[in-house]
Amino acid sequence: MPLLSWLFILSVIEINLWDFPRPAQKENVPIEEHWEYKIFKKFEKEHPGVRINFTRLSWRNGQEKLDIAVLSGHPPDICGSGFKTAYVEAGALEPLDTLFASKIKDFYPYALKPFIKNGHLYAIPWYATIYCILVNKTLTDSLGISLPEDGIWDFETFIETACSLTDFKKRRWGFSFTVEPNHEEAWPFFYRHGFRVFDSNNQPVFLTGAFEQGVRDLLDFIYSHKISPEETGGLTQHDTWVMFINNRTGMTVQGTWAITALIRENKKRMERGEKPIYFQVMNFPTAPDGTVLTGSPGIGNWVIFKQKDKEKLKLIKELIEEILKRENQKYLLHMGTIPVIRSAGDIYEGTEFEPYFKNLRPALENVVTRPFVKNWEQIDDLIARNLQLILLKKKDVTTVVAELQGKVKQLISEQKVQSTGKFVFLGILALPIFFIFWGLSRFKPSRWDLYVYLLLSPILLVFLTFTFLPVVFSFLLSFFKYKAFGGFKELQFVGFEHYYNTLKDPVFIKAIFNTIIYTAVTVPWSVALALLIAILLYPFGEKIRSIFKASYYLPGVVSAVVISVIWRWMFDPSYGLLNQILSLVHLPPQPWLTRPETAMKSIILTDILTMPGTGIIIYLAALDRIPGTIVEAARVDGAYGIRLWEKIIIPLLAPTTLFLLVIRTISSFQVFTKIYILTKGGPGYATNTVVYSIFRTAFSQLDFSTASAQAFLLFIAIMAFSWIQFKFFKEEIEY
Amino acid sequence: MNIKRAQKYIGIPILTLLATLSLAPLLWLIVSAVTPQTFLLQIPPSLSLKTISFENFQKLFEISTIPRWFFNSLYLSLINTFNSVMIATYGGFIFAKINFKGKKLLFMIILSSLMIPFHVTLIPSFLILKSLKLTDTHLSLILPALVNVFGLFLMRQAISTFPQEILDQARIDGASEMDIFLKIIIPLAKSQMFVLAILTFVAQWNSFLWPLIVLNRSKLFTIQVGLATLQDQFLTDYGILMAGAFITSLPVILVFFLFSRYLTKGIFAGAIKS
Repeated sequence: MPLLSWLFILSVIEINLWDFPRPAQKENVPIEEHWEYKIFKKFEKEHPGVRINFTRLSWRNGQEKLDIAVLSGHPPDICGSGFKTAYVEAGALEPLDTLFASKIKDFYPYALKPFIKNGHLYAIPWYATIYCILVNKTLTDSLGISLPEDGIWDFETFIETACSLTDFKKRRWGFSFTVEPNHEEAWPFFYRHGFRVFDSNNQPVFLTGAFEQGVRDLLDFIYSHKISPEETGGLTQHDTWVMFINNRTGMTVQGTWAITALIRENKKRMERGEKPIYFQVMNFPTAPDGTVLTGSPGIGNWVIFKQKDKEKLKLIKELIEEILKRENQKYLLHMGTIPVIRSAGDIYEGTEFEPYFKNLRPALENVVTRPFVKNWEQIDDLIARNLQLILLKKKDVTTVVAELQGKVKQLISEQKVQSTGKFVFLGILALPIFFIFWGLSRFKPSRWDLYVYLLLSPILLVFLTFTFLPVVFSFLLSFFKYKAFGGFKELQFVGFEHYYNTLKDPVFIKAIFNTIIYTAVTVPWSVALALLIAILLYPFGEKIRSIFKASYYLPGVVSAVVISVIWRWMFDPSYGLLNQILSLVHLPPQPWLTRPETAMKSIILTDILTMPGTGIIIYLAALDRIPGTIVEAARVDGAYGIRLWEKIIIPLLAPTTLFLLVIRTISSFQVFTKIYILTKGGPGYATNTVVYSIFRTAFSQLDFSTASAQAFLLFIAIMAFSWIQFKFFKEEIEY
Repeated sequence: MNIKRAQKYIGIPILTLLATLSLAPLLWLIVSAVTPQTFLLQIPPSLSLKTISFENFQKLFEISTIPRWFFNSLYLSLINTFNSVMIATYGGFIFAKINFKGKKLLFMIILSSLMIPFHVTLIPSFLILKSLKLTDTHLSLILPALVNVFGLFLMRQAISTFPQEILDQARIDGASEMDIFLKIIIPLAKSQMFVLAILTFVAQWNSFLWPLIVLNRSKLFTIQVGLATLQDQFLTDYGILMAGAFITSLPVILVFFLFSRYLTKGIFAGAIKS
């Protein structure tokens, strides 16, 4: 019996499956009842000996988890919405065209197109999301505006409707949209003039007159028709969504997911006895030739990472077929997405969603998908940030067009990595090793020294393994180009090229500048404030002290993400707390994060208003350490009050001050989470900081070499600052 | 004494004002955790005792294995805090009070590792853990947390202010370095150790990116990772987010109040007399 069960265990095939969170069939469903989980369970039942290890990714940083797994050569077997051009270039994905040959005809061509590279298919489309315009029906009805029932309208009707929905007195806009990076909500306005980023051969045809025409339309929305807010360039998709569900805007562009989301929201509102938002789904205004078209933020997909075992590959293929089965297509409606398989038909037919989705049918014939070309993430970022600046009237369209054409061409041009670097890499590696040996040979430790090193050895071992080695690795990587997949195998030595390119990049220079400003204001402020509060608290007894200490420290225990989300909320231009307070005292509302001139100041403001809780408790603990005898001796010598602090105590606190300054400088040079949640470095590049740049280079562009180079430039800067601080304060204090 | 009283009179109003300012986000967090989202997004937010509801919490518990994640986070944070505070104090003592060849250089190297943003070292760290076959285990969270460079720096700065005479006296009396560490340094450094313990616990409890990257099985997730997997892509339900944040803040608040009693003065004065 034990032998038998042993054999059984050997024969189990494990499939590691990762997927991003998908909306369940209804709200508040435990994971075991989620439709996706049920599909996997059913598959396991039908295939004895197969186990699916399901890992649910998160929308926050789930992509980075996948990137790291892929780059280090240990990806899952299969992943939902895991397609990335960089993975194809890295050779990490299994080509699927022969495997799924019999099925391919059943997919809509627009859904397959993004995943075809060099004649091979690298992902199986799962669903499509497209952009549509949502109109607040309650508002149009009350204003007596009639909307075309079929959801098709021309440009003039669209503008007219938006104008009559705009109401300055009620602070309501006719139409809101976003141009934030990685969002293409506004792009159908370019598509309708015939604009495409790339032609059918993936050659950039990007900046044509059509693009300019489209941008001018958007500018007109804001500045001549005045149907969109002036801060549009700084709005996020989330802002426009919140504006819509709170009647701050009559119309908005959203993905089709928003339709199901709104229906759910309405149900909740009705349960609570509140008014729902009646809405109608409209297409984008038709092209001048009358075509109904739209854009797509991307096609949901399944990718298979390189497999050695053919049997397992076949099983995974069956699993994907199971997910795509006709009976399982109906689950797509919980996501508000559209099937990409012809035989699936219209899943919305006969459901409560049908009245909303039926208007979009004509647009489905003309969906412009996001092109998956090399460096698309960078190209998109470049276009989006320039669009933000254009809409905020910081840059002119014609200038931008001239600027970007060359940059896009450069980004898309191929750069081959040759695998000649291994020896040079080893050579470089030999250099520090040589120095270490040289140092060791001159290092003649006494028995005492050896004893101390023995005492330190556990610390050194852990430090070497988990901190020092990774740092050395990334330092070395900054001198190489690499082929990403499989643990950095093909390396090409490029010397200081990454450093040179980084320092030449005006965007990075701007990031350095922003970081320095941020640090120069926030670090002295927070250390000084911590000292002041500690001095004020010092005379009090333990009870009062701990109440105050707690109130300064506790907000710091909430994760930085949540604090940033709360700040984002406060800064919101229309319903944010800050502007409401300003209006109470009859001051004009401020644009806060939505304009380049105020965005960085607002970020700094969040720091100024945050009490340096850590600094306060560290200072207080240090104050308590000062022996009473010293203070008494000083008193006997006639030092009282401010003089006592100035001459005796503050100098005695020097090691603590040094510690806080160094630590605060290091952390504010590395400011990241705040930027990531509040502004994503925008609008334009106004709040782009060094570590945010590093993060984007490493993860959205998967260029860890350049990211490492940037990190070591930062390292040198922090070293220099810390060194100055060490010199400025006397290091050792002897009583 | 008059000066001290005057200082108190000036102090109280300023301190109270700053405390109010400081607590505002936390209060907002609590309010929004117990209020359904629609009330919050109105202008002005319509808040009253009537709108208080625990539906956000209820939802959280219905759809997730929060108790499990909570337990994981709790035990990992406690272990990591204990380990790293003890090791930091030990290392801080050696770097502050024992002279040996190469001390300054070694300390600079260790300290300078703080200056590398961790995003770029994620991949090599992951590769090392992978080659040790430790990914998707809790050891991958415990081992790298053993040495906390920040803590080492803090303890070294704190211990360097201790008078050398006490240690010298002990050495003359024949105490070994280990004795000195256990019998003199630890009692003296207590309040700083508690400061470090609170800071470490909070940092460990809130750590997100690393556990997200190394853990795959849902039952091993920490609470931060678990909560993040619950959020749909576009439906940022503030209520759930805030309820989650509230639950995750509770233990830290508790730890603060428990430890804060120990952050008292006078330890030093006692030591020097005896």
